[in-house]
Amino acid sequence: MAHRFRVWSVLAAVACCLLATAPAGAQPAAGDGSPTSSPWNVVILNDADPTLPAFVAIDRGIRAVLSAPGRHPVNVFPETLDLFRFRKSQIEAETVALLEHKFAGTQLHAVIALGAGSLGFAEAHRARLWPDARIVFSGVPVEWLRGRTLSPMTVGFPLQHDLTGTAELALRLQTGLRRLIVIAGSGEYDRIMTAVARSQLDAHYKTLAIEYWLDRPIADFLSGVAGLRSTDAVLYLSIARDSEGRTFVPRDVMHQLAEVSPVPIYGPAETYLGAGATAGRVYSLQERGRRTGELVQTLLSDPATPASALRPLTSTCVADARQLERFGMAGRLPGDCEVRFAPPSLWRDYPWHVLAALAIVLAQSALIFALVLQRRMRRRAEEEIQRRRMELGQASRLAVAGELTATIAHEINQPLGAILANAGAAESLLRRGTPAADEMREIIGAIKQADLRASEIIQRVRALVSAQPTERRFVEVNEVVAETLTLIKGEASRRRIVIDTALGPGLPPVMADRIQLHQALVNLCVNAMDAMNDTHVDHRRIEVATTAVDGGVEVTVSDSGSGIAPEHLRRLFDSFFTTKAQGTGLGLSIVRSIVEAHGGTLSAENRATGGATFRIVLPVHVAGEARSKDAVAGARATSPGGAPLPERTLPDAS
Amino acid sequence: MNEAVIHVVDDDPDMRAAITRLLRAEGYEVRSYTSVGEFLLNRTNGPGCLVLDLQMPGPNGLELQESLRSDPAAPPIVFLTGHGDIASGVQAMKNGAIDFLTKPVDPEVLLQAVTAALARDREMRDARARTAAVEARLSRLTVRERSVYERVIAGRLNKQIASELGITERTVKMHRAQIMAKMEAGSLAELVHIADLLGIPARSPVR
Repeated sequence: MAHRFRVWSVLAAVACCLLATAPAGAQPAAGDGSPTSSPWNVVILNDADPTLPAFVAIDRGIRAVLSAPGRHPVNVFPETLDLFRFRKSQIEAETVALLEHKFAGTQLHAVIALGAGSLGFAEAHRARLWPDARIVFSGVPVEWLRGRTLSPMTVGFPLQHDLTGTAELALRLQTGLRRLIVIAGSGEYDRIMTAVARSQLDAHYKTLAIEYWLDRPIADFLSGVAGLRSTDAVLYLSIARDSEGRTFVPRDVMHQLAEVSPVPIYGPAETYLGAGATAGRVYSLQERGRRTGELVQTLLSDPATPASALRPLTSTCVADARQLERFGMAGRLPGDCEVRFAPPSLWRDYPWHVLAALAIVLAQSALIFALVLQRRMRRRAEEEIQRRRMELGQASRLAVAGELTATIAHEINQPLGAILANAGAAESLLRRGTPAADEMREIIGAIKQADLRASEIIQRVRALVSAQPTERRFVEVNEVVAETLTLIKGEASRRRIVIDTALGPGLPPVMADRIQLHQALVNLCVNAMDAMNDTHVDHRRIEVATTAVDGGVEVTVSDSGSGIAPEHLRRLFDSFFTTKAQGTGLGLSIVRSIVEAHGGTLSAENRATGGATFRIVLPVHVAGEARSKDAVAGARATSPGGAPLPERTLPDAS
Repeated sequence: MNEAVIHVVDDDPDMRAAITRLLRAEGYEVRSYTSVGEFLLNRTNGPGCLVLDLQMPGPNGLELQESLRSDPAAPPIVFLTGHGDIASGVQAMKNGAIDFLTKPVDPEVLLQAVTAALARDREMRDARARTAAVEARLSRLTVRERSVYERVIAGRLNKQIASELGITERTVKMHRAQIMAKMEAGSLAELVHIADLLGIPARSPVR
C-alpha cells in the first residue's frame, strides 16, 4: 500500500512541475538577443480553400516552427487564391491588385507558396508584389516543376506522391488483387494528380491491370465503385470537380466512395486516412509544414544558405485500423506501417500504467494468497495438535489398560492359585481318610479369604475404568465408530477380516465420554475378531452398524464366527469369564461397565446367519453424572432386562 | 533325616500357605520360605526339590536357578508362577528346570511335577553316591597298580605292559588280580566302565 502511495505522489509532483513551467512558455520571447528585433513578415499563400484539412495540417506545422518560443518574431499573413473554385483567368488581375494594395507599406520577407497554383502566381507577379522576398514553396508536384525555371530566390519542397508505394502496399495487402481503378476528377489539381499517376504507375506494372476513371459525373463514380469485384481495388487521387462542374472537397468524396465501395480504397494523401481510405504511402502534412517553416527560418536568418541543401521527404506507410479490420487484412500489414484510428485501448495508450497496476494487483493477490495459505496451515496444524492430543490420551489409556491387564492377571492369579491349591489339599486329605475338622476349617477359611481378595482386585479394576477422567460431551456416534475402525483396521487386515459398516444417517448426538466409547467399541471389535480365529479366511467379516432408536442410538457389532454357545450367554459379560485359552475375561466386562456408566444397555445374541451380534444402546442423555460414581463402587450390575443380577455371595463354611 | 523335603519359595502368603497345605496333605515334608534369601540361609544338603515362584522381592526364581547351576547337589526346581511369559519359561527349561507351571495350577499337575522332581533328585544322589564309592575304590590302588590299570583298560597285552613298565609278565598278572579285587570288578569290561565313569583316559600304545 505504501509503495503505491509513493508512486502516485511522485506522479502528482511531476505533473505540478510541468503545469508550473507550461505557462512560462506561452509568452513570446521578446528580444532574443538578435540585432534586428523587428519581426519578419511572411505571407502564406495557398491556392485553394485554406480550411481544407490538408492545408490546415501544413499550416499548423509551419506555424509551430515559426512561432516556437525563442525564435525570431514573425508576422504571418495568410492569403488564398481559391483557384479550385474560380478559374485563374477570372480573378487574377484583381487579386494581384488587391495584394499589392494590401502590402503597399509592408516589407515582405518571405512568401510561402502552397501548391502549384500559388507558386506560379508568386513567381509570375513577383516583381510587382514581393521583389525582395524569398519564395519557399511546398506541395508543388515534381511534374509541374519539370521544364520550368524558377527565380534564384525560390526554393522549396517538391510535392511527392508515392503512388508506386501505395500500389505496392495494395498488392501486399490484397493477395488476389488483379485490377487497380485509379479515380480522379476534372479539376486542375485533379488533372495534375492524374499526370503524376500515369508517370509513376504506367511504366511499372505488367501483371496488374490499371484502369483510369476520369471525367465522370459523381454519380457514375459512385455506382461504378459500388459494382467492383473482390479482385479490384481503388486508388483515389482527387475529385475537386467532376465532369459536370460540381465542386467538392476531395476528402468528402473519399467518404462517399468508401461508403459504397465493397473493396479497399487506397489514398496517397494523409487526410484521406480517416475518411475511409484503407491505407497508403503518404507524406506527413504536418511534417511538411514544419520543414517548410524550418526552411523559412533558415533562409531568413542566413540568406546565404545554399538551396541545394534540401533533402527530399520520405513517405510513411499509414493504415486505418477500422478498414483493415473490415477487409480482414490486419495480418498482412508491413511492420513499418503506422496504424491509426485503432479503437482506444488502455493497453496501447498507457502500457506502463497498466503494467504498474497489474504488478500491484499481482503483489496484493500474492500477499492475500500467502496469508490465506498461512492461515490454512495454522488451522491444519491446530487440528493436527488436537488429533495427536486425542490419540495420546487414547494411547495412554490403552497403555494403562494393557498394563492393567498384565498386572491384574498376575494379581488375580495369586488368590486363584491359592484357592485351587487349598481345594486340592482338602481333596487329598479327604482321600486319605477323615481329616480333622480344624484343618478343614482352616482350608475353607483360606479359600474364602483368597476369593475376597480376588473380588477386591476386580473392584479396583472397575474403579480404575470408571474413574478415568470422564469428559461427557455430545458426540456423534458415527464419528466414534469411524475412529474406532481406524484404530483396529490394521489388525483386522492382518487377520484378513473384512469390515463392513452400515452407519445410519441423521443420528442424534449422544452425551458420552468419547474415550470410553472408543474403549468399549474396541473391546467389542477385538472380541469379534478373536471369535473368528477359527473361521476360514474367506469368510471373516465384521459388521458395525448404527441406527437411531427410541430415545437413543444403537450400535451393533456382528461377526461371522461360530457364535456363542447357549450355556455361555448368561455369563458372557461377567468378569473373568472367557472362552479363550489366553483370555483375561475382562474385555466384555469393561464394555459392560462403560455402557452402564452411560446409562445404556448391552446385550448379545447369536445370528441366524452364523456368528454373534453384540448390541449397545446409548441414551441421548444420561440421568445425572452420579452414574459414574456408582460404577466405582462396582456393587450392582444390571442385565439387559434391567433387573439387578444376584449379588456375589459365598456359601458359609457351616 | 533322609526324608525328602520340598522347599516352597513364594512371597505371597496365601499361595505359600495353600501350596504347603496341599503338599503336606499328600504326605510330603514341606518347608516354606518368603524369599530366595531366606531359602539360601537355611539350606541343607538333604534330598528334596524346590517349588519356586518367579517374581519375588529380591532375587527372582530364575536368578536363583542360575546361581545353583554350578552346584551339583542343588535340588531340582519346579517353577510355579502367576506371571508366565514365554521367555522366562524357555530360559527356565533350558537351565534344567523340571517344569514351568502357572498359577492357578491344577493340584494334580503340581503333584506330578513334584514327584518327578523328587525322583530326579534321588537319581542324581544315587549317581553321585555311586561315583563317590568308585572313586574311593580307585584311591586304594597303588601307583604301580594305577599305571597297570590305565594300560589294561587300553586293551594292551600283559606282555606289552610288562615291557613298558619294565617288569615281568608275571608281575603284571599279579597286579591285574589286585586291581580287580580292589576295584571290585568282575571283568575287563567293568574296569573300562569304571574308568569311563571316573573319566580316566586310556593310555594308548606308544608308537
